[in-house]
Amino acid sequence: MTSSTLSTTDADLMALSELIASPIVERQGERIARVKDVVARLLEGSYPLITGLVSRSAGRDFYIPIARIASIQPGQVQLNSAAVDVGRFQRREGELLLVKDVLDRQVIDVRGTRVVRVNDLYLSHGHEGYRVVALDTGGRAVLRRLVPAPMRARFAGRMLTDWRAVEYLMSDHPSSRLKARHLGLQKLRPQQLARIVAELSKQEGAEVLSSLDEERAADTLEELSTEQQAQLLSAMSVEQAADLIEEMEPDEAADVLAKVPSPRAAELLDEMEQPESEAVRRLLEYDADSAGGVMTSNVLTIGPDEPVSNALLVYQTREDAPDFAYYFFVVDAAGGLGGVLSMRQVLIAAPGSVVRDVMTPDPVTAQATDEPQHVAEVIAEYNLLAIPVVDEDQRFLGAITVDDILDVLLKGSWRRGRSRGFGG
Amino acid sequence: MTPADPLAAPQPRPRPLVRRFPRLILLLGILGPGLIAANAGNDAGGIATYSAAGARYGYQLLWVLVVILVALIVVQEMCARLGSVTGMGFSDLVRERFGVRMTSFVVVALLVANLGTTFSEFIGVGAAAELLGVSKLIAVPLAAALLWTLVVFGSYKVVERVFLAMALVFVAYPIAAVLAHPDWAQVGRGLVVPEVPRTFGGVQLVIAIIGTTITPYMQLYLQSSVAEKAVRPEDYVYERIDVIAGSLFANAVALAIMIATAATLFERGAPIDSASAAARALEPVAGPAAEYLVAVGLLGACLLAAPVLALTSAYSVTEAIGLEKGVSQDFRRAPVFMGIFTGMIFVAMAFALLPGIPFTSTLLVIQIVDALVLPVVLFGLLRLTNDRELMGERANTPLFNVVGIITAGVVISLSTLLAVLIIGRLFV
Repeated sequence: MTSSTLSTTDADLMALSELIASPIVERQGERIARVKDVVARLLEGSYPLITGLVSRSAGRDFYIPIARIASIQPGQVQLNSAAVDVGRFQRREGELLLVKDVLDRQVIDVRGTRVVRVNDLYLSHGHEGYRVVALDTGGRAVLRRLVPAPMRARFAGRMLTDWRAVEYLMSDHPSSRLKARHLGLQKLRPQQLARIVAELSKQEGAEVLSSLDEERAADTLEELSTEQQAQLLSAMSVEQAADLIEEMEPDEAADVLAKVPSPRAAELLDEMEQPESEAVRRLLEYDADSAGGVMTSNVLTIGPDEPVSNALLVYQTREDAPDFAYYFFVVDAAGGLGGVLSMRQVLIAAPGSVVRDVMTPDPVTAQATDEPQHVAEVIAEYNLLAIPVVDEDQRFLGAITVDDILDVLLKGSWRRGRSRGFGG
Repeated sequence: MTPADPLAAPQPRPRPLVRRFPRLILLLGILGPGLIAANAGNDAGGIATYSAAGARYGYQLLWVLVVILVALIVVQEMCARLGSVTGMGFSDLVRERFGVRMTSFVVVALLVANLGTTFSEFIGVGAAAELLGVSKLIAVPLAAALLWTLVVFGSYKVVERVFLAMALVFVAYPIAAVLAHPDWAQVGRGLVVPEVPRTFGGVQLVIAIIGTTITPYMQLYLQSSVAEKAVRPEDYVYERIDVIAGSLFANAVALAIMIATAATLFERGAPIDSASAAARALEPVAGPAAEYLVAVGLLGACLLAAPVLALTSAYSVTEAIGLEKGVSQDFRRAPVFMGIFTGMIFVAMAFALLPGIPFTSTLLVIQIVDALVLPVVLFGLLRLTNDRELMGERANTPLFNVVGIITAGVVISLSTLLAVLIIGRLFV
């Protein structure tokens, strides 16, 4: 069954829960065992194919390959031969046990961008054999599994999700040695990925992040709360975590490192590339609740005697240009802040003019020790998009952008994801 | 950043990361859940149970606390290890490993125990209020409404510390225990000679002590807090220290409550069925202020525990079924979660308003219910921590299994004995 749409009213969907414990009969009609589990091979971009059954008889498990099975129906599995090899099940690469590995677990519903629990699975029969086509995430599926068979009809109603819209998480059972690429997740936005990661355990979240490229993983991480970032980083290797922190904006990186126990933070800083770790180390000096702690050092700067046309060159050649850059900060050789050059000034400047003649001299600044609340008021009063931060000697340190200050102001009411601290 | 970047101009001052005592700092950062979990044993049920044991049996039951200390450490260590390795909560794991039938059984058992314990917290609030001269008919509904609002509107974390600080007044008990001049020879004897009074009340008390010291919900709370922490599995040894320190501290307070009540109330032969009787044990240290001291501590401990209980229950159910979860002001987003959370608080509150509830005897019964649910939790915990596929090299060693099985076995056999005694009573 490879049709692109899945009819949710499909009557020939077979519930895995009804197949479990069904008798297995050989050709002469004699019961020889019961179904214990169903073996499926994961196929990228398609429905998993059933490759056999694990059956149980007289306290022993044995494997029946799909070639020996004439038909699978809820309530009865018919074999096409009389004799069965009593072989033990050996997991081959890419194979999953539907009951043991999938049923009752959490998977990612990519279309709904959320984490769901597999309350039941549905199999369907097509010309290529039996396949897993859908999963049920509804509460009624749980009730159907709890009540005796005759009462099941009272709890009809399915909440089906197409299997192909689902990403299966591998972190829970290292024994299957499957490496998931999670192709479905590559299409999601960092905000959607963050919502999913927030609902997973830190190990599963780390699995999702490592399936993404570093830049997207860092963007996703930045969408989460600092506590959640620290949790996820603790579930990764030092190398992997350091790579991710390097990709983050320096102010966000400093915030998360401040939440990690300090010997571990030192380890991570040592593992990071020199320029990135220097920037973060400098930000870490400031109290998280001061202008210095909120500011970012990832800003665009230019010398006062450079031609204005260099400004666009800076933009073009910088590898990790900040997302939010309307101003160029004019910094002299001694590190002093001389002025601010806005993108508008750059665009309308006469050809050949020098930064010093075009920039706004003596811009409004904030001190590194100022309270963020005060900085917010200044930004609002002067209608700024960013404000440069200087030290007591008027040397330029970094800048606070409007979105940084929004984060600070919204912190109180800002509750993304859930706190699993009370989880049962 | 390019080398020419003028940003580099300020002298880079290396951040003074604490390099001299990194281990100590790491330890302090990790300490917490174990300490909180163990000390939540000293809530309304704990105070009532330990004081009843001291008042009715003197120093005779002190040894129970020594034995239970070992069990408490082992059980909490398993919970913390499970949380650290898997990053998942208990009902999550039960659902994934044992399927829906076992899950529904475990969750229902936990709900019953948690509802009872929440009820006991509101009884505690009521008793504390009456000690302070406020009617429980005013204080208990007020407390319920306050807790619900604080949690739903997200400001609970702020007041949590206030409640925790209030609960810390129970540290006065060890001082009271010394000032009460107990018979130290008797204390020593009680600590080492295991003697179960062969009476209905004696067996009941031993079970209640187990139930209130190793409270089921607290083990689940501990596991999810550890699972949530930004601590790498390699640093697990510090979690272990946290668990052991927390258990030792909580047990020391419990021991002090028993000794203080034994010295002050048992020798006078005073029966105890109210919070004010329990407060009398603090008179050696606080004099006439003893009642206020107990009231403040009781209020803090109960207000701390009640929302955790209600939230733990709501998370257990929704995680197990796979429904929307999380506190939300909008009921439609997570109706089951909010329903359970709200229901637990207000049903427990309503029960606590019933007139004429005897303080100690009611709380003892609730602790027994907690004890009866304990084997269910232990069974799941033992199976999960022995699962090599889940735990890898961190699976249980035989020592942990032996202690775990003995604990469950003791609870089951004592409960059976209690049942026999109850049936015996009915026919005599």
